[in-house]
Amino acid sequence: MRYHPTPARSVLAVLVFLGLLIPSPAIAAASTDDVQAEVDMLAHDVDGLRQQLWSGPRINGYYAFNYFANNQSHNPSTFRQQALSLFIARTWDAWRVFTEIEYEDGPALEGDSTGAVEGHGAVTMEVGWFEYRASDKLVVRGGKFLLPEYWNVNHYPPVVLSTNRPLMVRNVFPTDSVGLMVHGNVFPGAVGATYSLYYANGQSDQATDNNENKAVGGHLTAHLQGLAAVFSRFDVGASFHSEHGAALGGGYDALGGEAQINTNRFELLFEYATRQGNPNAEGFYVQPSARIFGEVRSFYRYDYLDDGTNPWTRHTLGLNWRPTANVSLKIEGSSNTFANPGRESFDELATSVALFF
Amino acid sequence: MPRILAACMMVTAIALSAPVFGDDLGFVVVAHPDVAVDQLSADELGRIFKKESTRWPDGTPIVPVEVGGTAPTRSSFYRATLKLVVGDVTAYWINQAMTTGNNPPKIFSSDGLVMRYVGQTPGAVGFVSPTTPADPRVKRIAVGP
Repeated sequence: MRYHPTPARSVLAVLVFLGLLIPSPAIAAASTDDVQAEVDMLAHDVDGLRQQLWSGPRINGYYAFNYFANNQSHNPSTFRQQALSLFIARTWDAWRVFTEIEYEDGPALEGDSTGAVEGHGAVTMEVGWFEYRASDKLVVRGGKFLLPEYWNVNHYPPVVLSTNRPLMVRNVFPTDSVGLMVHGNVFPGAVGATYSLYYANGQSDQATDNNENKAVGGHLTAHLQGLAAVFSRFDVGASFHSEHGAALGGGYDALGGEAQINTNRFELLFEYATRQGNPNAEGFYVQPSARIFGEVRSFYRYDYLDDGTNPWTRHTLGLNWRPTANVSLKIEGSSNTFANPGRESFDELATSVALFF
Repeated sequence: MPRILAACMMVTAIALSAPVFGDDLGFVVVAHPDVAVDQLSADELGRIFKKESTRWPDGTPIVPVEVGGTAPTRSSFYRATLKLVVGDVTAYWINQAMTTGNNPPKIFSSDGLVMRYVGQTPGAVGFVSPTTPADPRVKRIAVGP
């Protein structure tokens, strides 16, 4: 059969040819991109409006609830509503103010017609400071701050693996003080350092702030993980604290060393501290841990503390599970022994729930 | 033979020292066009996104931003820079909230929003998927060794 071109057939052929040239899938893709860009722009605008509406301080907090059972004759098993803490922070350019208000051991406050308030537990300002960041190398902090030993700073229940803190913590170095601190970090290359130096109120004989003695102290941490790709953290640090006031009967000097090493699923924490003076004290802990699956970690800790009365040794074995990032469930068993018979050795089971919000 | 060996070593050394734009790493780093930095090491990026480094060399505040959630880009970025899984990074910021009051980087829901914010905000730096279309409003930062 012969092909006879007619005007109608020719027009049809041209239309089919042009139809093949039209990039219809590209049109569809361009439309999707346009819609996505429009959605992005609207989401960006909404986010900006949200920031304008709420530009107040950032508020976080945590709640911790514990259960302890041990075989001491005088200390039965107990639940403890450990703490409800609120953290309030606000930053303006180089300035920041930060505070932690803690409701510890379930305070019950009651008022009467005279305005007097009786209560149990404690409501305290754990820390409260302002900070000016001149540069990453120089930050000035004033107010009530935690002294810069590792566990003393990083002690919060939602992030530490154990329910009980190491024996040496708070028993060799003081916990906090009111004064001025300068701190910062320097990273000239693959390795760097973080430092802090403070001049602050010392402690009285009752270990309370009395504004009479003055203490000086500092902390230096070398960050060495850049030396080997296998480490996500390889920190080695040293601390000192010195105060010599009349209220202390001669005062004391404390020195400490520490290391925090992380590689893949393993972590090793170590701290040692010694205090010479009123009274002498020495302690250390070493805590290896491993992520065994998912967000379940197992840990072991060896603790030692000699506070000048009765040297105390503790072995702790425990598990920590974070079903979500904000929730930490803990269980641990420990064996506690004392060098002198004046205090009864005991075993303990400790469990806790800590929630960050 | 020694020459071939030397040549191979030289090529390897050059390859190792050359900046990478991030595509092979599973992410691309972008910054506001006024940021006067063209290359950052993985360690430097890690410190920026932990907010340990807070200013560019010219003094402009660094504003790190990222896509939130379980985006593969995020996992690749934190493995390459901090050698951490995303869960550990979250734990880091929870600890920061309780010890310093420091906020995590601003989080957006898509790479497109990260690109838009970085392009509009002086000092901003972020990371996006290598498949994100190029945008003339941002500059790419090479990731060095």
